[in-house]
Amino acid sequence: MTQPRTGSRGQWWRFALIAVITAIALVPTGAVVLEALKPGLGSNVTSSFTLQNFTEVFTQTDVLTWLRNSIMVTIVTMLLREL
Amino acid sequence: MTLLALAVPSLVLLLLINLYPVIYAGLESVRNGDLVSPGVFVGFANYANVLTSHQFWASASFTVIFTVTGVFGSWAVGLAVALLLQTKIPARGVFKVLLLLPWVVPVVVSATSWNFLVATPQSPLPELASALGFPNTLFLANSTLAKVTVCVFKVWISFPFMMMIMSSALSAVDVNVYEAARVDGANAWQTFTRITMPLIARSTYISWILMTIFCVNDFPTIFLLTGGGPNNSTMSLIVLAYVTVFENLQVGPGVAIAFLMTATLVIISVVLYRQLRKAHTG
Repeated sequence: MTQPRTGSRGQWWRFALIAVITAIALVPTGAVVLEALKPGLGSNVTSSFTLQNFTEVFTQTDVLTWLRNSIMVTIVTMLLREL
Repeated sequence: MTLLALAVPSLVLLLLINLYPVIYAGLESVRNGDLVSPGVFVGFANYANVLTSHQFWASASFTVIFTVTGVFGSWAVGLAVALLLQTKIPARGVFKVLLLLPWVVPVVVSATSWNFLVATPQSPLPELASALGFPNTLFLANSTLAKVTVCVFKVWISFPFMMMIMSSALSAVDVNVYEAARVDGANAWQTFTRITMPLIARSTYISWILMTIFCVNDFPTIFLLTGGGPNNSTMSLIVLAYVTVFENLQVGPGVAIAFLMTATLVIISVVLYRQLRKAHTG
């Protein structure tokens, strides 16, 4: 499409603009990722970041069953659509 | 005759899969049943009740606002980002992947992240608003702010889809056309309005049709963020249909709402499709 401008000034303000847009677009997702890495309420972990929440999800819930169900539904839906 | 006979199994399958649920729902919409009993035939009373209810028109009004904002907001942002990504900037591929994340991430996670950002007075955005001189800004507790938040959320979640469609449309435009325009002395705005826009019109109309369907049928975005509140201010027609059927247990009126919504969607899609054909032939 539009001929890419090769002038470095034009290139850099575009780069800065797209970097800002990307940063803004990623704020909500980044915020929830950071929140997932923080120690939960009642946790005895002292560090700012921990994988304890993820460990708990894998050890105290049926997340693997839910994951297997999701994969199965996805595969079966795709196969049926291809028929 | 043989050809028709060969098509019969597929036709039967199609009818069973597509037509049966529609006919069944159509029958439900003219009865006064609940989720347990089928109820009795009431004619078009459900449609009449729905069309005379204030909530239906309030929901229809919000659905229009939500759809118009969702379609044109995400298109404008998507097109702008696609235009930026067409230029030679460093790490273009990385930006493309990162910008797809709002669309790729499951809507449950996105809604959770937005709730975390705006829901309580201690959330980051209300605190930022407070620091800027707008104390007690509760984005999901105030009717107007909740509407704005839901629409912005929809634009945020949908712009990567528009960005992809617009990127592929822009890539297909012949670079020589721009060279010719430059030789003729066209400035950037003229190039955009008289060359880029007409040449990507077809993809634009397709993206509008798809996004209109996505927006009108969008249940999780609204339901997970506000549940239709506060005071039903963000209740769209699809959320209203859900609430009517599964919370108020009124299947007939709920399905009638869904049918009216579908009819409107078909009309809008036909109008946009005609525009698309015009753009294609014109």
